[in-house]
Formats: sequence, structure tokens, C-alpha cells
Amino acid sequence: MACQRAGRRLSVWVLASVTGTLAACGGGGSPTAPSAPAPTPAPTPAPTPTPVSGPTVLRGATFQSANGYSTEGRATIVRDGAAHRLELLDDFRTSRSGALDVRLCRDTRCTSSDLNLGEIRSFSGAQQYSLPDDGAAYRYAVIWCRGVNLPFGFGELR
Amino acid sequence: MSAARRGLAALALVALSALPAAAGPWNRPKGSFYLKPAYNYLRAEELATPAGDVVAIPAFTKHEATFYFEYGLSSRLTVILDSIAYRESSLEDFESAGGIGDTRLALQWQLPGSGRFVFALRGALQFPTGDETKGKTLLPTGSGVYEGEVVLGAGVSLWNGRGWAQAGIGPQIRGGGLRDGFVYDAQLGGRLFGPVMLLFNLRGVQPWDTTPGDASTVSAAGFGDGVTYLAYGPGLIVELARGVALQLDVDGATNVRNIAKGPTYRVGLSISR
Repeated sequence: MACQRAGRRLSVWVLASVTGTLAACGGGGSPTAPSAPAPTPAPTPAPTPTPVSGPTVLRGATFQSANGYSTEGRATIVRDGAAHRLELLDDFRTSRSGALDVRLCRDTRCTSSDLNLGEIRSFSGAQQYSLPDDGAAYRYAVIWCRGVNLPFGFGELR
Repeated sequence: MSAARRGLAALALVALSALPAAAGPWNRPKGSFYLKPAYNYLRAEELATPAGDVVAIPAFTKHEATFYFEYGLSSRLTVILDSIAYRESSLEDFESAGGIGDTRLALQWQLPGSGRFVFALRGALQFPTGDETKGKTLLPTGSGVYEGEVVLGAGVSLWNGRGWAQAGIGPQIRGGGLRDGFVYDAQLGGRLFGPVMLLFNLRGVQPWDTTPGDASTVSAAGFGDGVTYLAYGPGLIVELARGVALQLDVDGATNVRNIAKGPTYRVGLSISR
């Protein structure tokens, strides 16, 4: 019996010590002074998550051949964050030639005032070209041979 | 054949052999030769596309130094070497490029003829000694592939050996996936007066299939896939001395695809013996 009583006393002491310690850390409020419930803080609206926007296709074109040279496949103008690019897709293919540029033009017959994105990197398959803006001023994606000033193919951007 | 006709035919053959012109289907007599270095010039502001449309392009100019040589190996065999020793071409506002061109070697076998008519079979192999990559491939000096042709030719002497007509036709085989077709040529010539001879030339290339294909490339130079043309025009030969002659030719073209369209001028100096 004496042993049981001693054990119960020890338990009370331990419990009191523990609650006292918790009160000193301020972790659980005062156990001795229950008062009105603390005001519930107004729910802060969850911050609207900044959309992790993937690339957005602005316009697309399907190429058609011109002047007897073969060009086929699709191109898209893509906005990716603040950047824009022209993508020639997997199905793109054009006749092999030197001095072949990728251009955005107002008409199927490009002029020097149109946008030259540079020499084509591959005659087939997916490839990308940076744009300075969304290319809204241009109506056609054109595969242009600058040696003879002729389009190999073009696609209207819609 | 009567003796008189045989004699006339022999006379015509001798007369034609003495003409300061390429032999055509006539055999170059054994041990004799015909050599003609020449200069060719073309300026064109139009390009015939693979689809057959003729469109304006920046001026394309071509200068060529060519070398043509025939040698009689036997009474029936003639060997022919034909090469573009140097070729320079340019596109305005783009580039110019030059270099050695392609080389053709041909062997001609004269078939048994009849009277004034002669027949010959000529097999030619073209070696890609030129460079198809010049000028970003837009100004090549050669096709970049082996090519060959077998031409059956026929000729007839006219006006007692003072003139001739000849024609040839045969298949053309092109390597590297370029389309095959056939080649043809014809020539009518005759002595106008004294040392002056007048010619009319016609020659062409016609692919079996002219549908624009994947291998269509810009080829103002006329080396590309599906190149098609029928060139025609007059020529003039002036004998300067025995076995030495000056030859001038000019030709235009029709039925054109994948080649610059403009007149070509040729001047050559032939030496024959």
C-alpha cells in the first residue's frame, strides 16, 4: 500500500512539474485563469497562387509549299512567361537548300521590313526561334530562300 | 549500194570529218582529234522553279571555261572528254563562288551505216569533280553525283557533204536520288560560204517525272533534281586556218524547270587534225 501511495504522489508531482513548465514557455495559456476565449483572428484570405503558367500557344500555322519547293508541317507562336518564340513542330519538313531562313512576314513574299528569325537549323523536325514580341504584326510564317528571294513555303498564322 | 553511191558516201564522210565541228555520230578517224576550249557566259534574271513557273530572281551570272576533246581510237571508236575546267557563278546581293566543274568521259561506237546515214551509240559517264556545296549549295560547280547516259545518234550528210543533220536521244541516269530522264540533241549545219558555216543547235533534258519532289532545291546552275530544259539557238563556225576555227553559239531555252532562264553565249576555238 505504502508503495502505491508513494507512486501516486510521484505521478502528481511529475504532472504538476510538466504543466508548470509548459506555462512558463507560454505554450498553452494559463491553466489557472480560464477567461473568455481569445478572439479568433479573422481568416486571412489565402494568397492567390501566382499561376505557374505553361507555354501558351498564341497562333498557329500550317505550311504549304511554294514555287515547287516542298514545305509541310505546322508552326506555332508560343508565349512562355515574358518570352515569345516560334516553334516549328515535329511534323515540319522543307526542301534542302542553303541560305534558307525562317521569317515572319506580312505577306507570303517577304520584304526587308519583315522579321528574319535566322537561318533554318534543320530541314525537318521540331525547332524553336526566339521572337522579340508576340509577332502580332506578321501574318505568315515563311521559309524563305534569301539567295533567290523566294519562299519555299508559308503558313498563315491564325 | 552502187559504187557511185558508196563513193559519194565516202566523200561526204571525208568532208564531214574535215569539218571543224564536233563529230556527232560520225566517227573521228583513227588518230585524229578535235579539241575545243571555250568560254560560256550566262546572265539570267529569271528562275524556272521545279513547278515550271518562271519567277524573277536577283541576277544570276555564270562564267565557264570548258574543254572538249575527241580522239579517234579506231575506225569505229571515238573517245570524248568534256569538262568544265573552271566555273564561277554569282547571285546579285548574295555570293559568288567558283571552282572546277564536273567531267564527262564518253565512248562512242559507230554502228554500221547505210549510204549517207550514220548511226552511233554513245555511253557517257559524268564524274562529280565539281563541288555541289559552293555558295551555300546555291552556286555549285557540279551536281555532286555520278551521272550517265546512253545516246543513240543518227546523222545524214547533206548537199554533197557541205552540210549535215544529226540527232540523238537516250536515257539519262542520275545518282544521289536525283530523278532520271532522257537527253536529246539535234543539229543542222552547213557551209554558208567560203570558211563560214552556219548551225542550228537544239538539246535538252527531260526527267521522266517532273512533279516537284522532296529533293527539289534551288538550282539556277541547272544541277538540281528535276532540271528540265530545251535549249535552242544558232551557231557560227569560221575557219581561220586549216584545222583551226572560231565557233560562236547563242541559245535560249524553253520547257524549263529548276534552272535559270536566260541566253547563253559561247565562244570557242577549235583545233582539229
